[in-house]
Amino acid sequence: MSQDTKTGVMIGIKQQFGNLSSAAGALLLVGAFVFPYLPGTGQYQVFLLGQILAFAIAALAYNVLLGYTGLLSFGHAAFFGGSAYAVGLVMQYYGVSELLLLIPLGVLVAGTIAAVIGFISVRHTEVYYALLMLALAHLIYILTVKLYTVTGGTDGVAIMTPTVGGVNYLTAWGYEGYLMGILYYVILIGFVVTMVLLWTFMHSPFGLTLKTIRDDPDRARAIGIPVRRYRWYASIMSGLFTGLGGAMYAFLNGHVTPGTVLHWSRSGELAFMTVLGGTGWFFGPITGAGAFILIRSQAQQLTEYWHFVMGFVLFLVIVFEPEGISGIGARIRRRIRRWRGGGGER
Amino acid sequence: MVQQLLSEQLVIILNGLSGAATLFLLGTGLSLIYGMLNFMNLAHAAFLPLGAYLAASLIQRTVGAVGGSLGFIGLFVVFLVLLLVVVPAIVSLVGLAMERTAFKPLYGLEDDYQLLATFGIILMMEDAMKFIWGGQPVSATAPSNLLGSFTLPSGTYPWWAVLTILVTASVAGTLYYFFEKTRLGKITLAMAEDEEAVSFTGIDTRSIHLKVFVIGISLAALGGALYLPTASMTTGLALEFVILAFAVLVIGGLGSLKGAIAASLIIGMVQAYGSYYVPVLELALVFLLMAVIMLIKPTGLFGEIEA
Repeated sequence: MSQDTKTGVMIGIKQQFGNLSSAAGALLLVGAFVFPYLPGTGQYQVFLLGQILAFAIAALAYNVLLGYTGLLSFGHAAFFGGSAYAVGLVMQYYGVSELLLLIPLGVLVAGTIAAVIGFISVRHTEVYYALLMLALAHLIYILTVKLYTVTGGTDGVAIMTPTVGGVNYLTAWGYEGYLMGILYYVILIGFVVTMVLLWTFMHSPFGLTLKTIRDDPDRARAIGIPVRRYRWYASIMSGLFTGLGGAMYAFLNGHVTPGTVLHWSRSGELAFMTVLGGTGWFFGPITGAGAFILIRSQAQQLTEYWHFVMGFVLFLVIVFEPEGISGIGARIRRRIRRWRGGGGER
Repeated sequence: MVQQLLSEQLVIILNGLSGAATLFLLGTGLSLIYGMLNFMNLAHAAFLPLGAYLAASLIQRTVGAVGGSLGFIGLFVVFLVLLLVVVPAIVSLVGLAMERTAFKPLYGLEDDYQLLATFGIILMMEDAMKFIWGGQPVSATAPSNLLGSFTLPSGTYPWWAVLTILVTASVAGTLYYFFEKTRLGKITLAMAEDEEAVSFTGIDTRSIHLKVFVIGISLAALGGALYLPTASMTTGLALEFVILAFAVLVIGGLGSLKGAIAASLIIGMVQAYGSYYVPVLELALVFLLMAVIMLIKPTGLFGEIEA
């Protein structure tokens, strides 16, 4: 299916189900806001949803490159982990513990790394881009491991509980109140802001330019789009928001190590989430992040060989449903529409 | 003093060469499979640990069963047969089974999707190895101990590393001969250029695909088998070997045998000199080099395919 028809289908679906899906979306959002107060919700569930939201931020950002610009990156761990490490190291060395300062800092550091790595990598496309990103990001991983006097090496960095707006919520509310209260809402708001901003960017002329480049770089060049520069902009934007996800992850987990945030397999996981949810859909990566974290937490409870389960799921998705969960969803919606006697096309 | 210095240099160079040997055996297969089959197999490097784990099991069993009854030569021959023949053969069979089931559905996909799907496969292979051999490091130094080491002014050096270099050099020579002089080799090269045209001449390109694939995988397994007696193997190493394999691929140029030889020599030497003079930067230098080469010559040192 070409991207044009995909967009066409999206519009068709939106017209038919616009009210329904926006109502469902609003309901989900309200649900997310009251989630910690729902009966039967404990720390673990909130932690899990917090994880999902943090990764959803990063996956939404990842899709700016994969879904909208057509670039597969194997280097996003550098942005994700770069931000997480910036938060941890500044906390450790400068004693800054204000979350509202540390988050912008992490985002900025990730953006800077993305600007540098991206500038070099966008000289290439396709598999060369993926591998150059991989090499440069791995360089950062290795340096972090080797410079253990600064970074703590493979032991990583502890992220202490931050203050929010100068208030130490940990002493005020205890850990449960901190995690299920203020931190969860910081992550949720970060998620909503990311969603709104990226939606706006991707539906602006900027986003359309990226799509043009994705669909046909040569034609884009021919109509005067500076392709390489736009790919660079996309890399930076993707890096900034991936950094936001990384900072949220750091606060949520309280500890970061090179293996968990900077290793190239983390980049692979972000790609996995995005593809699992569906790269062709704006909201796909959110579903993907959710499905990934849920499958993983279930698999971890069942077996220590949960990597096997994740690998198998990824393999199945690419072989049988390259459009991911959103693709399955769209197919079901089309079927329902046809069943209702609506337009029979597609 | 001079003797000491020369001997140190010799050790560094030998380290570089034996490192290069492993990298060559690892990277050539990846490069050939990409060049000939146009298949971007991220999981390729997992066959090296597979070979190493298998070698460890076989060596331990052998030493346990017949270790004492065989003389030096008998045991050495047994080890050689195990590591050079049996391990690559068994891993080839595993590879063949995987080609039929896991890799075949991916051939038509774009490079991006191949990378991602094979990322899934390497996760599965890692856990499968962890399931079979456990999470603890595995080592089997018997073959290296058997050969012993020779003395240099700066210390001793294991003969096994020298053997690794010699075996790999002869493998490289054989591959070179295969591609330059034999009919099958030339057909394979032609297939890399234009597979359709070759298939029109009535040649069964599918069976050649399989052969290239199996050769690549058995080389990686051989690399693992030769590597094991000098180091221990842990799960997680597969993910580390992957990126080294890609470094060989990118620096040498996609699908080039000469490139794979040159790249593994360069990386091996950079690692050996790096770990001697600036241990902190040893691996970082490799990826810095990879990035620089991709910027200066995007197609790699010997690559001809346009980026």
